[in-house]
Amino acid sequence: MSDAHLIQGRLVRRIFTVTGLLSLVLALAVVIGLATGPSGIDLGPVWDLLTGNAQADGLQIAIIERIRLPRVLMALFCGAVLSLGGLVFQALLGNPLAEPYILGISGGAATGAIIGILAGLARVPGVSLTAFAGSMATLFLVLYLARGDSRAGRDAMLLSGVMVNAFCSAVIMFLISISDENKLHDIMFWLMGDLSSADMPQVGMVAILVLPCFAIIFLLSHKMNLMLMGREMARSMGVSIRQTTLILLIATSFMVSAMVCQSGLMGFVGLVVPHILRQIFGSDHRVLVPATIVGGGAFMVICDLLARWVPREGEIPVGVITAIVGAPLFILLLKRRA
Amino acid sequence: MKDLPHQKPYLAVTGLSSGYGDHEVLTDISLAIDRGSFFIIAGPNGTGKTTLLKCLAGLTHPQKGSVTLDGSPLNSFNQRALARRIAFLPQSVETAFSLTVREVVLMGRAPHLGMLGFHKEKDLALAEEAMSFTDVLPLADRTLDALSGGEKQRVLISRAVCQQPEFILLDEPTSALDLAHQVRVMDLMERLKHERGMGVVMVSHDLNLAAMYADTLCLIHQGKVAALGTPSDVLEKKRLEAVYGCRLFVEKSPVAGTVHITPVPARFTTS
Repeated sequence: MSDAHLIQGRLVRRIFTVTGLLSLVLALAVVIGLATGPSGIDLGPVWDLLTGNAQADGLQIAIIERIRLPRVLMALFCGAVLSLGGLVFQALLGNPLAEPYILGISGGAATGAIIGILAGLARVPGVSLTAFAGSMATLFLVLYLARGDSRAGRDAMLLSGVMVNAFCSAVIMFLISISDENKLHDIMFWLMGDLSSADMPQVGMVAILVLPCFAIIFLLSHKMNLMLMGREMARSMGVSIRQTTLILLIATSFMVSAMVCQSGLMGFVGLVVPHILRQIFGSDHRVLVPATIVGGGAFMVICDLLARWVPREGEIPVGVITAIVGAPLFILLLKRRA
Repeated sequence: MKDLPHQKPYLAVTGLSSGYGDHEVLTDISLAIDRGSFFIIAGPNGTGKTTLLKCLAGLTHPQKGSVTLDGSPLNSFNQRALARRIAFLPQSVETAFSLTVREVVLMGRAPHLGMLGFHKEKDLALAEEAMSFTDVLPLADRTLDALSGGEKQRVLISRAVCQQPEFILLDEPTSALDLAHQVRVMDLMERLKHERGMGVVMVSHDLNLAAMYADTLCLIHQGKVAALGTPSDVLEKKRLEAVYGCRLFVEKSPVAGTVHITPVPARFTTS
């Protein structure tokens, strides 16, 4: 019992230590992200901006503030939202293969976006609104299909999501097959995820929509721990499963939809980041939720700066980088642990 | 039994019917379980023992009749209030991600703590105490998936003890354990009853263990109470043969003086 005090402090301290550590990584990633341009990494202007140097190069500052900053922030939110989405769905469905799109959000959003693009709407707000409408429609469809028999609820939801996604990908293929050449490029860009068109109002919009969801999910993080023991056991420890599941499901799907309709589909982040962090920090969601938000954000900012920095000309789609970096990293951790 | 004046908290079932959809699993069950007693539910497979246990835990709602704790129906409690009084251990627990023993045992404090489950010194002391009670303290920092069946069961019991309930409900906790672990788990239950005054309710297939440990034995057959009373009253050869549909050899155990039952293999029954 002598070390009881130590252990008690340990949880709160661990939350702050882990989050603080990852915040440092994130801050570093953001600074490098702001400094990275087509001509390489130049920390000078970022330093000028941070210190408020009056003699700074106005054009450089403007580029950082108007182009790079919104892009870096968008990448940050994108990584945070998708990683947290994956974490929640993995806990909620008790399935390590779950990712934020598993309930059909990606299919719904993509179908909505493509319809928007084909209708000739602008990227913002037109296409993002149709994408959002699409993903919300699939969420309600899945909730409707999976309601009723609570014993089968979890699997029913998973299967409904997979089916909705399969149906949507058929619709997407059909829509692509009848699309004009010039619209195909827009569609492919949307499907691969694209952060290059971000601006500050968009980032502000995303922030307003997703930050409350982060808070809600953190408040339910201990219930997510209890749910790891199975639904019945969680109920017998005082969790109202139906209510908790519904709140988590809606908050998560809402923030993922709000994010994806701005950024397009970013693959893989949501699956791999929660696993990497769980391998390192354990399964306590009170630690993992903040860690995933900050760590997922950092991961995406780094991937995005690699996407801009690696090729001599143009850029690699960031979704390609997330998988190329994430998959080996995950396998490495898995091997080392075993 | 029903009409006894109860001063102590107790679980009572009156006219309970329950099932899934149109299929009725339990029909018109009535019984009462005192705090500080060891109550075992036995019966053939698929006769509704687990459903009865879940009704007692408030996890399944009765279609007819009621389950009450101290006279109030279980569904009048909110989930957390009920969890402070009744702990439940399902037949098997599979976790998708690995948790440490200490994390699992501390979860038992959840119904006593705030939303985020931040524990105080007292809760840690209770967890340590619960772990040493079931003898899993040396395993505290191991992960659950690295334990043997017997160790895992003791960890889960430790979690239930940490919950400080009035009743602990267990679904076949000994069915996957070796002989030593079976007795160990049953002894733990007996100590919970004697030392902490908990009511222990257990679904079990092992009639011989039930005969040695139970204060009250409830034999369920085809969704109805076939017999209810002390083990020596309930475990009657004729009744058991009718309920289980097989030949049995019944003798007196030299250890506890209780009934000992041996199922008779088919090759010895044709005489």
